[in-house]
Amino acid sequence: MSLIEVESLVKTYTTWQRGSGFGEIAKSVFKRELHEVHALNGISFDIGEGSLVGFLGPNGAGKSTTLKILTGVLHPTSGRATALGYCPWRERKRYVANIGAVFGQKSQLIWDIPPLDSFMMNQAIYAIEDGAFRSRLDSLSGMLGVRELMRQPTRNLSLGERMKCEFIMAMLHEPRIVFLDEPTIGLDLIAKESIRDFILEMNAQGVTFILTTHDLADVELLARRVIVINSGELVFDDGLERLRSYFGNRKRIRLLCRAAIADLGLEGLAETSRASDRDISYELDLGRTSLDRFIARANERTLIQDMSIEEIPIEGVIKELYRAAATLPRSP
Amino acid sequence: MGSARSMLMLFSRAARGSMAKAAAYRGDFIVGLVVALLFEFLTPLATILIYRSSAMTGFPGWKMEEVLVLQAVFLISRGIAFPLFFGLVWVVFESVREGRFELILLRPRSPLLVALSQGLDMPGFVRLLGGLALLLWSAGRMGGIQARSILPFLLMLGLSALTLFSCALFMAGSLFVWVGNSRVSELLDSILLFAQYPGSIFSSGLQLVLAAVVPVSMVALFPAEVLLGRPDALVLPGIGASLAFFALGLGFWNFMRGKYAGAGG
Repeated sequence: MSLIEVESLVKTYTTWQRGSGFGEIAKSVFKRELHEVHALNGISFDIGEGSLVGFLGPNGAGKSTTLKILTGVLHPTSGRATALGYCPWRERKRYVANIGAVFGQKSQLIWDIPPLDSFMMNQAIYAIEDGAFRSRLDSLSGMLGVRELMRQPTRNLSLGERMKCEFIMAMLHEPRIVFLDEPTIGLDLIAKESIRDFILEMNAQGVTFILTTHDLADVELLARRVIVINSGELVFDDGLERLRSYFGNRKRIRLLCRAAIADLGLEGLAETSRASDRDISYELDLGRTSLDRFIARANERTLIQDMSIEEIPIEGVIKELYRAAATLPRSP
Repeated sequence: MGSARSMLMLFSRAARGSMAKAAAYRGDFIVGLVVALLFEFLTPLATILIYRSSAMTGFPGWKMEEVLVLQAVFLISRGIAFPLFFGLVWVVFESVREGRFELILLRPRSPLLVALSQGLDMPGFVRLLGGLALLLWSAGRMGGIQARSILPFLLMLGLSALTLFSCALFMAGSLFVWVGNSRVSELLDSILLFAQYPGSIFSSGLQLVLAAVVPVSMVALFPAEVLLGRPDALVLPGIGASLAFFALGLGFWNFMRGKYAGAGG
């Protein structure tokens, strides 16, 4: 069952621009050159209950606009969207009581006072009963390991500790959908791992997450489905594995041999880097040459000392998708 | 949970948060308070100097103590309205400029209510003390205030706070389009200059504008006149104007808030 349904969403807005010269600045005080920005050009997708979806795109692709529409902050120019059965921008108040959001770059905590005071403020805003609030806070703070920290002023906490408290802020009212915007930005490895484990745990409990990030490790470790938009259009919407093989079923192979490696003369094999004549990295299109054939040919031509075979990093695929813009056909 | 109880809880938590913030920066709070009290007494001090100077005749038709009551009412009205309503202006100023207003829109409450609760300035109520002290001193010198004037005065004081709230709504609303314009407070200060003096020093046309168009006279002049038992003919149109001004302010806020599109993502 779809929890979120988006159909032909279009958002166009007007902004202004000017040059940086003195004359242009002076002129802009009186008259500004307006131009239309087509942030979304009719995107459509569905998201099911309990999903963990990576929502990706280069800067300016329309991700934030989509998320703002789905959180009821912005009205679209045309198109339809429902989430939890509500129209987010028309039934904002009732809808947002059921969603949460974590922004890596916009804190919801009150800077000068301890996070506990911010949590209590959220208790009042969401009208959470005392008993439910205490039990939920106890459970979340225990999971994230911040029970001892939440009585210290927020400004004294590390970024990782603050981000854990941001998650508590977002989860206290037991939202069914949580929007995550760069939730691990700037965090160290341990803090990232802890946040990712928390997201997975909450997702296992049935919370739907929509994750916007430029950290592809977040996507690889968390998302089961990926939606990519570019220039306001949807360019990919499928599972993570389909994303990896989007430009063909390819492997990255590093070959280390006892002697110089001669040309292997295989179709679909491209050299990507060369540390020395004996140490070469390739990208192999398995649709054109099988792995068995590659290994056999390498053994024929030289003596393999060591070899590693890896998936193509998702980063490369995403980069190509970003560059390809809206000219790509939509994935089935 | 009933909505009234829920709203009370929201404001009590906001009040606690506001006190906690002030406690975190005690030095800033104390210095700010002393400076504010000193500045607030400048106008009453000028009034005393005007009346004590043999070269000046004071304000036509008003005794010095009556003018001081008017200025005390102004301080009391500000002392109530500024901590309650004007934090809204700075919450909107900062959150719109930094593209964080969506955090307010993500709450299942009226954005106005959430922004007001975030801007609540509990320690700011201390400024009320200056106005109350001036009122007691001036009223004492006049031989007291008639008991029957107190209830109508309190009602007028409520309208005065409502008028200032309306100003806050216009200021905050304008910031959704006029992003980062810190001059809105100077605009208000200029308008409020007209609220601190008896109407008799203005032309009759201007008195009408200040009563029935932009009800600045409702801020202090009309409540003070009611307290002193000498309301003028413009008080009734002033009441209507202040209610209309509030309705306009609320409409303006809602209209401008609808224009919020956020900053780049």
